[in-house]
This record gives sequence, structure tokens and C-alpha cells, in this order.
Amino acid sequence: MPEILLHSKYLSGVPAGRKNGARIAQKTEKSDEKEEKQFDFSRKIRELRLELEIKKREEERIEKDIVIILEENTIDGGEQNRSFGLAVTRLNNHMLVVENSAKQLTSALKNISSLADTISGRVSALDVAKTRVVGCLQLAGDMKDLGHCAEGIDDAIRSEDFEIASQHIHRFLTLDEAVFQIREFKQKDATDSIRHSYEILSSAKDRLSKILKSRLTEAVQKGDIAEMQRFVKLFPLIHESDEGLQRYSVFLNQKIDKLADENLAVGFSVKNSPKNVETMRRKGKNEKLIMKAGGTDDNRRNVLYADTLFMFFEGVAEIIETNLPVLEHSYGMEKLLDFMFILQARIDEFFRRLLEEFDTRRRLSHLNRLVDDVIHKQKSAAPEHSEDVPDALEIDAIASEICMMNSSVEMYWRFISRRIGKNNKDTLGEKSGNDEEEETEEARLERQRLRKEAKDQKMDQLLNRSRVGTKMQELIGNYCRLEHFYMLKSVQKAIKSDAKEDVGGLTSSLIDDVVFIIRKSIRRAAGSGNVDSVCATINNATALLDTVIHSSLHHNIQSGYVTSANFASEAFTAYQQGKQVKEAAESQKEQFLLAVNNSAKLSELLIELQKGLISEWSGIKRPLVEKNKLEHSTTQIEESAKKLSALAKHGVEELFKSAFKTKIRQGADPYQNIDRQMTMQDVEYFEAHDPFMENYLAQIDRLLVENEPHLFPDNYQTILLFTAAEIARQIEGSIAKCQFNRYGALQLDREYRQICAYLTNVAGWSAREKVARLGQVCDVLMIIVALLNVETIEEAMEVWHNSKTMTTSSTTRTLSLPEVRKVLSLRADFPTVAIKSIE
Amino acid sequence: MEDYKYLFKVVLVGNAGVGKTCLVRKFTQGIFPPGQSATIGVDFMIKTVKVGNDKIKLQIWDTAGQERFRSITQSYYRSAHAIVLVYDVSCQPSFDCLPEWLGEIESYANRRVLKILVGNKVDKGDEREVPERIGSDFSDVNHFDYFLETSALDATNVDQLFEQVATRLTNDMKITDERVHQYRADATNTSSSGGPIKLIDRAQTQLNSCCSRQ
Repeated sequence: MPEILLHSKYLSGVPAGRKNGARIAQKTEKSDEKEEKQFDFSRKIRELRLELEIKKREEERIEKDIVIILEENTIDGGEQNRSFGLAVTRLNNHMLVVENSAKQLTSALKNISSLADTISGRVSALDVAKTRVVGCLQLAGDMKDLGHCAEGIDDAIRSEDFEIASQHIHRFLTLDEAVFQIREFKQKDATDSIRHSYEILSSAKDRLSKILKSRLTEAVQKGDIAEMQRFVKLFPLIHESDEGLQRYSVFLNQKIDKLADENLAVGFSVKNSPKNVETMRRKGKNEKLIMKAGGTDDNRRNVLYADTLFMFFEGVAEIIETNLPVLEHSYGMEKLLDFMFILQARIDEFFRRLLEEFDTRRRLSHLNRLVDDVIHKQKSAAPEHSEDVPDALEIDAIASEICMMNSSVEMYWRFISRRIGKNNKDTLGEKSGNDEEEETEEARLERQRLRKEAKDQKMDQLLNRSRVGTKMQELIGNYCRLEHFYMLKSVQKAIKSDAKEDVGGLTSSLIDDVVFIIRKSIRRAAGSGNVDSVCATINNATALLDTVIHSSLHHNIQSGYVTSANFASEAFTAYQQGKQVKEAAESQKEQFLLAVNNSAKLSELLIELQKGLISEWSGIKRPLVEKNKLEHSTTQIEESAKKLSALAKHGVEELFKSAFKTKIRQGADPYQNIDRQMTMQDVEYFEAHDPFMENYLAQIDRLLVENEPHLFPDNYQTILLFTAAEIARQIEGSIAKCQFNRYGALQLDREYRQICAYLTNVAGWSAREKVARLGQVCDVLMIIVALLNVETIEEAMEVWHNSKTMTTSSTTRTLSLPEVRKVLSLRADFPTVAIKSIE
Repeated sequence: MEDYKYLFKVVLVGNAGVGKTCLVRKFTQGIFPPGQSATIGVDFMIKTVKVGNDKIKLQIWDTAGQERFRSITQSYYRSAHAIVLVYDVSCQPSFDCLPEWLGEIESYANRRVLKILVGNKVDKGDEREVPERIGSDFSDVNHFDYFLETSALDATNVDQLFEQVATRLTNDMKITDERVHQYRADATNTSSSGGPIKLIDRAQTQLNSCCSRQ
């Protein structure tokens, strides 16, 4: 077991590295273990002791070194220590000082703060004292003033120096609060003089107020304007503005009443002396009764009431203009409105009287009823021949008068809103609310909605319901009805008295009359300044155009155009009616042409009228809503014009059917008899000796020339288009009955060009127009001619496809495939099989 | 902006104070103006609505209900495409006046005008005086094209009302347009040359007619 041996050998106590021992142990392998151990220890101890000895010596040496180093260092280190110790002590001392100082500071601060407290306490106390002193001074001043006022007031009142007195009272009243304070402690510490002054002033105020009131009333009674203006200014000073306004308005109301009376009187006297309205007005009241009865013809008579109203509002405006500055200065803006309210009542009263007179004198409600009946009956188509029907001229005059009245009312409102609203935008809104004219009314509503001030709205409602406002609205309503009646009657009259102006004329008096009437009515409505009445008039006017006038023209057109073709039957009816046959036919023919031309011309004139109105109104400033209203109303005129233009076209078609169509067709008959299987020689020959077309076109030309003088340019254009279309149709028809060769087609092409050249020439179309119009009417013919003028079928296909891409416009028609086959089959030289096979 | 397909005139009528202006304002501006004062004359609004893919311009004439404006409002009937007759469900008298209004419509308006009956102010629940049944019966008996109860205050049926107006008018107009188109197509087919194929036939008929006349 060598491993175990080896192991035991290494487990032996022989210290590693002890070579000697190991060697010895190896040598004495079989020696005793005990002996070996003892030997080992003693040796080691010896060694350790030796080492210890060395270390001890080393320690001693190092200690000595330390001591030496220490000794070396302590030579100046001692000093340092000492100074450090000193410094510390000094610091300590300082610290003590600081501590003391801090303590002192604290106490000092405490001291100061308490001092400050006391000071600020004193300062505030002083402040209080100061304000009290100031108050006292103020009071003292007030009291002095009061005393002064009290002293002065009696004198002032006695010496009738009311301005000074009012100043005193004003002062007194502004002192009122202070005075109340005084009164408070007056109980305990009553100062006689103050109480005295107070009492004096209170009583003086009452007295002064009484005096002022009575003086103002007196002045009002006497009509002493200077006095009134003097006193009325004083009322705001004694805080009794309302009283002042009240009294002053009594005066102004009197003035307005007087003005009203004068104007009413003058209104009825003006019949005598139209030019001297102003002088008559001044003559005043007592002439009223006499004047009222009088009346002779004169040119202002028809607008008597409008004049009266105008004069009245002029007067009122003058009154306001002269008196307002006084009030404005001493009362302020808000009061002015109230003031206007007070005045409005009187103005309303005047207006009521005027309207009453107006109504009885002009029989307005009576007329209104009649007019209403007529308008309604016109609806139910019952002819009105009653004696009661009012005269259109009378209505005309009244309508004008109402318009003038409205425009003066509007002018007045404008004046008021400008005058009252001059400095104050808010009041402008409110004041213009007074205006019953829709244009400001709606603007006002708009603004009002934005502001949403309940007060304004209330005020506005009140103003809105002022009699002048509502009555004028009512009057405008009446006006619209009258205007409607006037237009209706005038138009009926125009239809009845329709006459051709001169022999050469195409149109008759009717259309000029109608346009004149409509223009007049619309302009008159516009003159009233009320947009709604303009719109209503336009509505009514277009209603007339679309019904009465349209049907009258339509009737004449429906009765037809007489030609030799339908002459027999016409003659028979005429014979039955016992008329001269020829004459009846002629007159109907004339009627028909007249109606057709009238329709066209009227349509043109209406468009002109519309444009004219638009440009006329474009300069006037109006709210957007009003502008829109007018704009959309005027489009109705255009719509009516379009209807009339359609009617004219319909008439022309009728004319064409009876007078042109047959002749064009008959004229085209010989065309198909021309042999189209031509030779070169034929073509050349035809160039010199036209076989058909020249003659045919000459025939048509005769027809056109014959009719041109009788037709309105627009209508002539229309008939040209019809003619062109019909020629194209006839030629197409004839072509379909022929057989062509190449030369025949060439001849056809030449003829087609002849037609085009002729039509263009006769119509005077410009190049662009020519393409467009000929395209409209001759499109199919053009393609047919082109298709026939080809060398091969392939070329024909090309032409066809081109034509399809060319005709983009919806009006032009293109040929279908079977149609193309049909056309191509007309070329005798094209093989049928090839034509059938095309796709 | 002017790229609308149709323009229709809608006229609102009815007694004073039934809420015509409020209906229009609610529809055109989306606001309910409290304390709206009486309309003076005629108010005018424009609003563009969409029906399908078409832009429709509604021209709304809001008339004053008061008697003194009657002659002005009457002039608007004839050119109207639609007339909206409004009454107040909480006000029996406004309903009782309907026959009178109907009479006006019949005497002044176009025969084919679209007539719509509207009972406004349904928000006044307890104060209702005219039951819906009565309103719709009246509408049926008098051949209204449409009946609707609305409230401008809480916007009930306001948009529906005008949408209905626009839709119905548009549909009517489209039918008319188609007819006109059809007529035109027929006219061109018969009058202007129906192509070479029919030429001979037509010539024949013309010839015959000529002969017979002579």
C-alpha cells in the first residue's frame, strides 16, 4: 500500500521547509516520534526570542527617533499653541460682546416697534382727524354755502333772479346728503343757523318750484318763448325735469296743435291760392272754417293732403330743431326721447285728423272697397261694367298722394332719428324704431335683437304702435291695392284703345302703354320710400303681364294667321259673321302679326325696364334685406319677359306653319326630279346653268322679303331659323329619293354650299353665329352631304366617325348606323354588299 | 355661390303672432328670438338646402299677419311655389281663421301651389287648444299637401318642415322637367327630321295632308 505509506509519511510532524529536520527524519526513519518533537520546539522558541529581542531594540530606537522628532518640533509648536489659545480666548470675548450687542439690539428693536406702533397709531388717528377736519371744513363750507344760499335765495326769488335761485337750490340739493347728516346730529347739537338755512332752503325750493311752474305755465299761456326757454332750463336744476318737460311739452304741443290747425285749414284753403301756401298758413286758425268750404281747380289740389302733411312735418321739424338744443343742453339725451313721446301724442292726433279728412274728401275707404271688388271680380273673370267703378285717373291721383304722404312721413322720421340719435347710438336705434318705414324698421329690429334690451324693445313697441306708424302702414296697404287697380284698369284701357301708331310700325301702342304704366307704378311705389310697396307693385305688375296682357296677346296669336291655304275656311266664318271676307282676313292677319311683334318687343322692353330699375336703385343705400327683396322682385319682370318671348316664338311658329312651310315644301318638289347620275359635263353645265337651287332660293327669298317688313327683328330671326330648318328637311327628303354617283354628289355639295351661303347672307349672321345656328338646323343635312361626297366606303366611315365626335352639343343630332347605310345606299356606284357589311 | 339647381319661393302666411317669423329665424339662423315684435310688411330670407345631391335655394317670404299688411302680402301668393299656412296650437282663434286664409290662397295663388299646414308652438303642452287630430283632419279635408306640428322654441320639426318643402318641390320640378324633356324629345323626333329612314313615310303623310286640304 504505497499510497498509505506516502500519506503517513506526509502526516508526520516534520514542518515543511525544515530541510534539516526532514533530512534527519529521513535519516532516522525508524527513530522514536517523541524524541523528534521535543527537539523541534526548543529550537523554535529560541528563534522567536531572538526575533522579539530584535523588535524590542527596534522599538526603542523608533521611540527615541520619535522623541527626537518631537523635541525638534516642539520648539516653535509651543508658540503656535499659545497664539492659538489666545485667539480662541479673544474670540470667546468677542462672542460675548456680540451676544450682548444682540441682546441690546433685540431690546432696541422691541423698543422701536412699540414706538412705531404708537406712531402709526397716532398717524392714523391724525388721518381720521384730518378727514374729519376736511369733512368739517366741507361741512363748514357747505353750511356756509347753505347759509349763503339761504341768505341769497329769498333775495333772488324776490328780485326774480330765478337763475341764481335755481343755482342755489341746485347747490342745496347736491348738498342734500351732507345736509341730511347735519340734520341727524342737529337733534342733539342743533346749530340754529344750519337748521334755519335748511328750513329756508327747503321752503325756498318748494316756493321756487311753485314759482317756476307757475311762471312756465304762464309763459306757456302767454306764448312768451324767451321766458319759457328761460324757465324750462331751470327745472333740471331743481331736480324736477319731468315737470319741466311736461310743461314745456304743453307749449310745444300747443304749437304743434296750432300748426296742425293751420295746416289743416291751409290744406283746405290751398285750393284757392296754390302758390301762397306759406302765407295762408300764417293767417291761422280762424280762416279754417271758411277755407274748408272753398275749392276750385288747381294743380296742387290733387296732392293737397300730402302737401299739408309735408308742411306739418316741416313745421314740427322746425319746432323740434329750434327747441331741442335747449332741452338737449339742460336735460340730456335720455330725456329727449321721453319728450318726443309726449310730442308724438299730438302728432298722432294731427295725423288722425288729417287722415279722417283725407278719407272723407278722397272717399278712400269707399274707393278701397270698390277697388277690392274689382280686383276680386277680375279674379273670378266676371266683367265689370258697373257705374261704380272708380276712375283710373282718380285712383292715380290718390295713389300719388299717398306715396307723397309716406315719403314726407319717412322724411320726418329720418329727421327725428338723425336729430335724436346724433350723439347717441343707442337712442338712434330706439328712435328709428319710431319709423314705420320698413327699411329703418327692419334695421332697427336687427339691432334691437342684438342688444336685446327689454327697455328698448318696450319703447320700440310703443313707437311702432304710434298712430302715425300704424296708420301709414295701413295707408300703404291701401296704396298697393289702388296701384294694383290703377295698373289693371290702365292696362285694360290700353288693350281696348290699342292702335298701331303709324303705317310702317311693327308694334302697337299697347306695349308702350303697358311698359309706361308698369314703369310709372313701380317708380311711384319706389318714390314712397317703402320697399314692401315696391315689391308688392312689382308682384302685381308681373301678375298683370302674365295674365291679362299675356292672354290678350295669346288670344290674337291663337286665332291664327290667314293665308290663301286656309283662306277658304276663314272666309266662310267671316261670311257667317256678316263681315267683309277680305277685310276680316286682312284685319286678323294684321292682329296676329301685331300680337307676335308686340310679344317680342314687350319682352325686350321689360328686360330693359328691369335693368333700368336695377341701375336706378343701385345708388340708394338700403339694408341688405331690402336690397335682396328688390333684387328678387325684379327677377320676376325677367320671368314675365321670358314668357312673352316664348309666346312670340310660338306665334312665329304658327306664322311659319301657315305662310312658309307649304311653299318651301312645294318649291322643293322639282328638286328630286334632277337626275343625279351625272357626268363631268353635266356638272360643268350646271355650274353655268343652275338646274334648281337658284330658283328655289329666289322663291324663298321672295317669301322672306315679303314678310321681313312685318316682323320684329327678333321674330324675323326666329322665322329664318324655322325656314332654314325646313329647307334642310325638304332637301334631305328629296335626297332620299335620288340615286347619286360621284358627280351627282359633287353637284349636291355645291347646292348645299349655295344654301348655306344664302342663309348666312340673308340673316346677316356673323361667322361664329353662322356655325352655331346652321349647326342647329342643318346638322343632319350637312352630314348627309358629306357622306355622299366620298370616294370610298372607308372614307364615308371616317366622315361618319368624325361627325360623331364633332357633335358634342346636345342639340345636334348624329346619324345612326342604319341611317348611314341608308344614306350610302343612295350612291348608286357603291356596292350594296359593301354598304351592308359596314359596322 | 349661385350654383343651385332650383330656386323656390316659399311664402309663410297665417294670423299675427302664430310664430311665422320665429319658424323662419330658427330655420335660417338657428336662433329663437324671444320677444320678437310683429313683422312689418314682409321679411325676406334665403337659405340653401340639399335635396339628395342637388342644391336647392329657398327664397322665404315671411309675411306680416296683421290685417293692415294684407294687400302687400296678397301680392306674393301668385308667384309662390309653396305656401306654408301657420296656426298656433295653443290659440283656437288662429285655427278658426284658417278657412279665411285658405280662401285667400285659393283666390290668389297658383292652382298647383304646394300647400302646407303647420301647427306651431307644440312646446306649450298644457295650453294646447287644437288637438293634432283636428289639425290633420283639417289638412286632409282641405287638400293640403302636408301637415306638421312644430315648435320654433325647441326646434321640433322646424328643419323637417323646410326639408319637406324643398324635397317635395324638387321632386315635382324634376317630374315636370322630365316631362318637358320627354316632350322635347318627342317633338324633335316628330317634327325635325327623324332621320332618312322616316323621311319617305313623313313625306307621304305630308302629301296626304296637303291633298286632303285642297
